[in-house]
Amino acid sequence: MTAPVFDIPCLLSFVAFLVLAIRIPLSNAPLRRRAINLFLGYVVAVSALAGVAQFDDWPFASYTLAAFRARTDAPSCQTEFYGVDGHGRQTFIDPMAWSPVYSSILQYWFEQNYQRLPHADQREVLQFLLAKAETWRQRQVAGKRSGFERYLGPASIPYWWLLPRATSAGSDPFQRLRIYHWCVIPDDRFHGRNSGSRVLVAQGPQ
Amino acid sequence: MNSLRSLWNSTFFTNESPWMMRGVRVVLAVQALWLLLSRPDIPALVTWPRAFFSSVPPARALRFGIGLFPASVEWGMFALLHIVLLAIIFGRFTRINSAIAGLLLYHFAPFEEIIAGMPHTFFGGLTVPAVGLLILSVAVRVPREATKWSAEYRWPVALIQLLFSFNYFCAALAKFRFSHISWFTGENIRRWLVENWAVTTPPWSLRVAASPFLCWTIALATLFLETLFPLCVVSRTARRILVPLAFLGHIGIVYTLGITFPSILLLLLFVNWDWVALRLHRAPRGDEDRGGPPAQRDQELDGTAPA
Repeated sequence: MTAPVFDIPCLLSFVAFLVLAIRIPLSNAPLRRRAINLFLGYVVAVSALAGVAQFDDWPFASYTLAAFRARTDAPSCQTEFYGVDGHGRQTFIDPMAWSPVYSSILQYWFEQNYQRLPHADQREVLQFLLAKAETWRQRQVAGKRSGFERYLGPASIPYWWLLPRATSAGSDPFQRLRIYHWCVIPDDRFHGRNSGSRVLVAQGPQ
Repeated sequence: MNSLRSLWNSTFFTNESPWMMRGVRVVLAVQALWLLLSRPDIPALVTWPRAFFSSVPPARALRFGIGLFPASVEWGMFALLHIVLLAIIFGRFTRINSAIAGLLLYHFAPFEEIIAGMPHTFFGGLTVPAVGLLILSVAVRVPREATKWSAEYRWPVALIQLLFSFNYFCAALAKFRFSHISWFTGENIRRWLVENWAVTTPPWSLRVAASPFLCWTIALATLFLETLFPLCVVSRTARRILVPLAFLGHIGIVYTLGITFPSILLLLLFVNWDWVALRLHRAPRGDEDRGGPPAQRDQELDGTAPA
């Protein structure tokens, strides 16, 4: 993730890319090769710098993914969203329900920001998410596809992380959301010692 | 210095078939269109409550033009993006449409993750199409009837292939930077398998994790593939080995780690589209159209495409 202080320099690096690109069709024959070389040199240098320095200057990317050594003795955690109907039954909400944002991104946002929000904003957030969850439930009950799969179904390109999917939704409307923080130690689960612990971190809207 | 110059020229300024330009252009546009059709709600993000944007720095919103336009304008631009991508696929006004598509992709690609700081936007499938279409927008126009090879067709194709290869090479650099060589060990692969299985339960995780041979094979294949992938830009042999290996690797990762590669279609950037066109009897045969002797290959570029 790029620190906020670098956003304007990153924007300038993209503008420089555009300026150097535009010079190519504007250069006539004797200068064209030089304009192309300058453009190539710039794109290769900025992209290589992003990779070597591991500094993401998107769209000149660092491609930092799964670069750390895995830990199976430390907790792996998720934030889970459940819809609760009038009878108190809770239903796991599909990662697609929050489209255009995927569940893992919403989870990250929730973990980093929700508790810091004023109460009114927290309520607004839960109301908004409840409405999206209910829309997903209604589509699910009606046999319609949701989110990334709405047009292309299984031929759609999924988000890169394939989180567990919801298999069913009840017929009663959701009245509120319950949001849990779930953690598991992979070694414990692997050896059948523990399947994880779940803590309620938010519910509503009240 | 001379060898570096020679490598540079042989990479970017040898003659190339017009079919490679056409093929790369279509692959980029199809990838972008496929991904957009898989993310039909992208413009709706601007209607989300302001609280979701509380951690988005104003400079980042400005950087990508997010929050500058009302939802109706965003939807209009999103529809326009689909139209220009279709036009590119069908070869209509390709340069101006590539410029429009590239700029709109730069605007829309971060929507998916902007509220969380764009941790993996580079992995979302629109990075290479956004830059690649902008590169093609300033490259020479390929006439509909063009069959002769030219260095004007080479540098855009090679640059886009190189940028795609950074998906792998920079991923290797990241692993060396944060984990050193110990990332590429069977034990680390086993731990990744178990860690991901605990959360997403991919079907093959535990079977592979139980085999030290398979874990070491994956570790060494990853090292081999990621560090050598840029060779695909310059070596036919590398393309024939590494591109299929990458494809198989991505399929395997889905079933072992529960991670997909949204840019998998872009492996088609390395297909020999000239060969495909020949097989479809749409390109003429004969060496006279293939760029002439090597002495003429490092030519001056004049911005005109041969017919």
